[in-house]
Amino acid sequence: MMTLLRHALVSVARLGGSLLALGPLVFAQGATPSDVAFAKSEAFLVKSAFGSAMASAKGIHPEEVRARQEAIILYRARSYDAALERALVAIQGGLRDELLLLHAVRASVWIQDTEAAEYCQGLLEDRLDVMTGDGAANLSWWADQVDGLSSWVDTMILQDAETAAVIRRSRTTTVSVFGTALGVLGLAAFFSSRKS
Amino acid sequence: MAPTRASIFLTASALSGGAVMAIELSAVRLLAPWFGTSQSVWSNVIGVVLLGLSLGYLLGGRASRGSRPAESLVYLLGVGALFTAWLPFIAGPVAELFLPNELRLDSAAEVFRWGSLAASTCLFLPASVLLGGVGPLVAELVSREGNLRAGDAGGRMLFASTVGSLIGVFATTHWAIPTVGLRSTLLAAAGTLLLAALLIQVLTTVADRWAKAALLLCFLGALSAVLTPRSMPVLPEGVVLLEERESPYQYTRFVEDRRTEPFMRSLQVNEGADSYQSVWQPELGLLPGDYYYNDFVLPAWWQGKKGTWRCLTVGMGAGTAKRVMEGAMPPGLTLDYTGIELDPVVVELAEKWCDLKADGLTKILSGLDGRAALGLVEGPMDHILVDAYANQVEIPPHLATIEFFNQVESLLEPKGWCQVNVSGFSVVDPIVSAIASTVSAAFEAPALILRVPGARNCSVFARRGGRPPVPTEAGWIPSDFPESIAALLRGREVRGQWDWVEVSHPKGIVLTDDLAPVERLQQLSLEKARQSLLGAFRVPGA
Repeated sequence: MMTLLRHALVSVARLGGSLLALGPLVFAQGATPSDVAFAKSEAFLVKSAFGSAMASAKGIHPEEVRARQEAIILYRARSYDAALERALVAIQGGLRDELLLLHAVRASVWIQDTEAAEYCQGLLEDRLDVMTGDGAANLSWWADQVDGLSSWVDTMILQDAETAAVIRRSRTTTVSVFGTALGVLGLAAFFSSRKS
Repeated sequence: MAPTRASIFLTASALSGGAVMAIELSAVRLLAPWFGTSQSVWSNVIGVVLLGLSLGYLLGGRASRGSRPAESLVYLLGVGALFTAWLPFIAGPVAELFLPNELRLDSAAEVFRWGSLAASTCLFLPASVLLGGVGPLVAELVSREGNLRAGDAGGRMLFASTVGSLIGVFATTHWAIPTVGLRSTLLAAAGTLLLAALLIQVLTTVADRWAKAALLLCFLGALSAVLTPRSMPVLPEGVVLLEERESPYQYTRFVEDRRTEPFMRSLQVNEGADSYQSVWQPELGLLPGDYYYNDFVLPAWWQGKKGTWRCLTVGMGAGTAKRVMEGAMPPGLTLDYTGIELDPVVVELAEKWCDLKADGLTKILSGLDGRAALGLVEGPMDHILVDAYANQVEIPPHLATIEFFNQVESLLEPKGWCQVNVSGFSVVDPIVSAIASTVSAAFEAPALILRVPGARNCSVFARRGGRPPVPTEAGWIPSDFPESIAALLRGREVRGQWDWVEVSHPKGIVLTDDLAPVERLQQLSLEKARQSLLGAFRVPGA
């Protein structure tokens, strides 16, 4: 858990442009091979060397923390479905930090996965409610992000509902008109046979 | 038999047969701006017309038992004309009932399938039922006139009606739609039906005043349709229609998006979704944003050749590939471009709106099918681009088979490049995998799949007697690449952005001329795209 907290700290720090300042702090607390791999991966990520960042991330343990880092790298490399897949592995592993969730929601929006977007957005909002530490210091920034994403997700939900309604309407119209036409035909045949 | 009266009835049957075909062939084109012209839209329209005709046959048969079948015939033809005349004007409002305001491509197939069926039912069923009733009434009248047996009268009626249909098919497709357009074609069909009704009314001296009044009303109704403009989808604010045309193949339009700087123009054909076939910007070179066209410059940079780069595009559209490549070629390399485009109207409009011009280094093969035209192209080529689409997102099956790619390979220089643009949602998309496997099998060499970030496209690369660069190996982004080209490749070495297909390990079905289920694969692709990734995970609370 401590490893994860340190990783989350570094990620948030990167977001604020203070990676260099916090980097030594990570090592000062006693770096494990996983920490080193993470730091390397972050350094490559800053330089947009995505392939090397992914290669370095292989040394991160445990699996969910590695998945979290890979999700962020993949998102930055614009591989959105792969990013969401890795983010969901991290979430499944119990991670709930705001940076991971933010990337998960954004990736879901990019690939228009409404179900995943709604789920991850819910987790992100929950996370914001209990945010402490460095994240809390930037609460208004996070709130803005969540609001912005929330309107995207809401639009996607509305679009899905509208599309479903249109398909229902099309089916109902078709079945009604076909049914009516066949009904008229049946009636015509019935009266015709009675006459003859 | 009284030849004059019987021949009038048979003429009416022929005119009605021609009108039915005009309606049927125009129907798909009429719906195209909203639902496209995919196989499923065609099937729906044909199905609805067949249902209408079959109902009409029964109702016409029943009406023929009456004492005044000629009057019934006048009613059917007159009201049928009215319905036909108004089709171009009511098509839009009816189609929009069955389309959401915003349509995502992954939902489009289902919306188009059901929406086009519902719209076809509302629009074309009434006219089909009415015109289906014409045949039995004509058979009855011909039989009564000449004291003919049912089979004889029916045979004559079917002969006249089928000859009329035949003329209707050729006249509609080859002359009317490309020459006078959809609206006038349908108005002409309505006029034909009114003419038939009038012939029967006048020459058979139908006395009933109601029939006369009905005919007059139908005439006035159809006439008022002449004064009403055809309904079309509304363009978003800031997007301007430059020109629209009907060609023998499709509805074609050029639009200019003035919401962006610089203005972008795009070619749209039969578009029911937010897709495009070609784009144009004032400057030559790479397009701003996530356009797959930018990938077309990569082989010339990877090859490192000097002199001339001979490139052939199958499915040139408005010539976007040429403009992108021309402005982004490596130093010391000149583009010698040949483009094949099936639809001459697209080329004509591109010359007007997209600066497309044939000259010493640009050859345009217009009006030719991509596969047939390969035989006319003089090789060898350095680079053959396959970017052929029909009906928005459908890859023509005959341009996706191993036999086609064998032809492509035979036209390439050794180490020359084949590049295919495939619309797909991921590198493991069923249609993308199938085409990459087919290309790989044809070239007997590995194929590289690159996803276009932020777009619904993948580029498939293969080389004659060689292999494309591997994203994880050195040389993927050579150090002498300028930043604009390096930026196209950066980030594409990560998972989900590329895949590799070896001949010995195909990742999808190898498509052949005998079996190329492209539509089924595209259907699977859309179904897969609609599934939420969340479904694959058991996440707490999901």
